[in-house]
Amino acid sequence: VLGFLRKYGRARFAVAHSLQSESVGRYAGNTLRDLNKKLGAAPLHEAAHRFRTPMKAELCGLHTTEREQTLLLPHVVFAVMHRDYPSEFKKKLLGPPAALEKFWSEMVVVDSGFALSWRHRTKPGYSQSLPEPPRTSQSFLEPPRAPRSFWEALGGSGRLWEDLGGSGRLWEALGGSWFCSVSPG
Amino acid sequence: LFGVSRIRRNLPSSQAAAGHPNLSFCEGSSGWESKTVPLALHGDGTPVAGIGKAWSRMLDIFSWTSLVAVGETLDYTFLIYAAFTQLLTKTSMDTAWRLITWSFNILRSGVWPEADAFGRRYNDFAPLSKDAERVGSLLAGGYRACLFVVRGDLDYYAHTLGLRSHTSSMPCSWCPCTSTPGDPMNWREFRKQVRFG
Repeated sequence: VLGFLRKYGRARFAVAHSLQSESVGRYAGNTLRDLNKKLGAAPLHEAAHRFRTPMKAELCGLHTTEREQTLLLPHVVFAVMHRDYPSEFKKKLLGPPAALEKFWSEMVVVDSGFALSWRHRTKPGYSQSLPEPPRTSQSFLEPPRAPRSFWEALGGSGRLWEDLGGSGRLWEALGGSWFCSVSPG
Repeated sequence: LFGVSRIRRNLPSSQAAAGHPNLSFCEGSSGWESKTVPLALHGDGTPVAGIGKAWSRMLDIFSWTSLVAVGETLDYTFLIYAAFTQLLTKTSMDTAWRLITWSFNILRSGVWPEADAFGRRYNDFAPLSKDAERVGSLLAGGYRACLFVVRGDLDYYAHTLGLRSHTSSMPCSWCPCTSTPGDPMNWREFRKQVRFG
């Protein structure tokens, strides 16, 4: 992979860009050297993977299908960053101050576990704030029960439907009588 | 369509996440909100050689990011693994996925594991190793992380993660809808006599 990154295209550009600020030495911008320097200190994990043998290698008499491959395991990177690079750990994993609490506060604990609520976006009367759509047919006026079961089919419970007041406004806002003409089924 | 951007944000208000094993750490513990980092795992294939040519070569790249990090994408994206798609067999990714899932499970628990990804206990096969020495100790001073988002395109979901293909007759992994014309569960049927909906 390293040889490849050195030699070709877009990936090289991306890596070179990421290393640009730290590239020092006789030849600034030597991507392979900088990458090796970085990966040399990185916690790499090797494991045997089964691969298809390239045709050229097969012609040369190589029939090995198991090759040692390198992985950067997330938990090792996480631990090493916490131990050796605390400021980077805070910046690149924990985010701004109180970002974690803010993220999780947008969740609400329910009896059986978790459900996202996004309460600050699902304000009461939200559906009433949507504009009146043009009405094209009688079926459009039927308050559909079906979309609720549509949510259930998607794995939900119709909670959003209740949050929006249980009217057909959401589906009207989605712009189609083809949504609102669904029968209860 | 008016309001779609707002509605999309509300879609997660379903209870799809309820009882999910990845979120089990919060049950019965306190103060976890300030110690648990939500993570995203991203995977995709991208052409890296012969771009736009018939002999184009793809690289499957897997990376992870923190969902709360702020800054340039390249700064907080961490590579896990990359492999040439052309060299992969049906079983090539077995080892990689085993290691990746094992690693994310350790991140969720927040402590160093007692066995490796293949179930071998460190105290048995390498009792003097560093791995055996740190079994059960905190991974990162009490911090832990849970995989919260799996990012990717439809091709990645279907061919790498093994979910249903968007081009198949049953395109959805969430519901039993079909794309067969005339089928009562066709997701494009909205007439009164159909069962879907």
